[in-house]
Amino acid sequence: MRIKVLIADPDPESARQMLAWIEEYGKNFQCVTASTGKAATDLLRQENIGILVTELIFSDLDGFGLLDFINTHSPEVPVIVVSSHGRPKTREILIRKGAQAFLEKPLEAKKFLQTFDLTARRIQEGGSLNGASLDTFAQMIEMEQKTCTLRVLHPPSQGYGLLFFKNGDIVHARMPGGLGGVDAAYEILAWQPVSLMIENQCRIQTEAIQADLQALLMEAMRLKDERSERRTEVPVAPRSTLPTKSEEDVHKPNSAPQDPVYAWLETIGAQSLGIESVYQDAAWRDLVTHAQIIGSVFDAGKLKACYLNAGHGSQSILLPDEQDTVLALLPGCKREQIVAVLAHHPPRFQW
Amino acid sequence: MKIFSEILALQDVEGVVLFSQQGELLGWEFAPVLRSKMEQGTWQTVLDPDGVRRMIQSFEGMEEVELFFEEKKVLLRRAGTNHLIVVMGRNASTDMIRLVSDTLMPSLRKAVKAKKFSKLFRL
Repeated sequence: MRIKVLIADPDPESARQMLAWIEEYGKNFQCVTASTGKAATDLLRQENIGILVTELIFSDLDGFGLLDFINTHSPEVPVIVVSSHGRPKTREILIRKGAQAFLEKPLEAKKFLQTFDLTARRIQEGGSLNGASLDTFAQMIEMEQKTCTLRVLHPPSQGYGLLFFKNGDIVHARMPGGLGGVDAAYEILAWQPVSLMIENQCRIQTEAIQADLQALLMEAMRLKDERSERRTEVPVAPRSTLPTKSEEDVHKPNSAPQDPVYAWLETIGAQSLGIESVYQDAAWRDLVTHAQIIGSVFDAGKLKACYLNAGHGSQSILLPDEQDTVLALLPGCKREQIVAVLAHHPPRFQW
Repeated sequence: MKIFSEILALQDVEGVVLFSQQGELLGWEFAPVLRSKMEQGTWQTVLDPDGVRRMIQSFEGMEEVELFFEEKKVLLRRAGTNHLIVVMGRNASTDMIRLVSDTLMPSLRKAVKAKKFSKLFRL
């Protein structure tokens, strides 16, 4: 799971420098930049920002204002302030407002990356999981009465959301773009499979959800079923001269239908084989590398596919191609047949 | 020997290896088709505890993983805190292996004494 880092700095040279350090530091980070306070708050509202690195002085909104915005809208986002205007009193106020660290400009790569590393570790100190079954995981949190923040990525739709738990109770949920509370929880809890990042604390103050987790899970599944039924039962409408966006389009995962491998599989009946969707997910690269090592140890030949079963109906097939292609499978899929079909060279996949 | 022989007796199964969560090699047995190759090779140095621990971490969260290669299939299953690797030909029945290993799970889960246990399985 990749962490999106927002670098807010009016000085483009300084922003470029920090972006280069972070991207060189690890493949798990993706940076976006903003040169004004307004652009930064827009990105914080719309995007799945995991960490904010910000300058203190902007033409439209200062760093304090940005911290106030974070505290109100996304208190789970850790903030590193970088500035050449950091008097001791200023630093004290920044830390009191919730900033994780203050770094004086000009920055040194080593010190910057040490601070960044500490911050990045904190938001996944409880571990991270790929291909997990979210309903099972959420029930475990409830049983163990844990307090935590779950950052959830749904690779098939590239959906991102946050679930907040206090003593095992789900208290809030949020998605980029403004969806929050129970509506966001219904959306997120219906995702499967997911990648998870677990932070062992919950910074959210507002408890927007009072419902029981079981009730939320049931309703999430009911809404998901209802949507998929609507998708399959779309009546054939008379042709209109106006282009319209159907509900089907709204709810379809973004990546699956456009994916050339999925399009190719559709021509040979992907649904009958039990393929739900196709997407790209670089989080599995380590697993594919280890699978290749196992193959070389046992003289098994070239790796063709990896079938993953995370339990509770969460199954997928990874293709060892350069695009990190993942096939999400439906329960009762015919995996041997799928692997056999894949031997017929789908687009962009060379065995 | 007895624990693995049941899996190894299944059609087209070539080898069974058991690792602990920490990456220690707990035991192994290979069918004649793979045995001579494995005896000559350096597979135990490739699958060293550090490497295996990293491998297990990359499979974290999975109940089982089935790897399809050009010539063979490899099944990785969780057995309590241990991990079972079954090497087989392309025509082997993974479902059958799953069924048999399920019945052996209690023994595989208990396999914790690395050195003593691996002596039992040494060929």
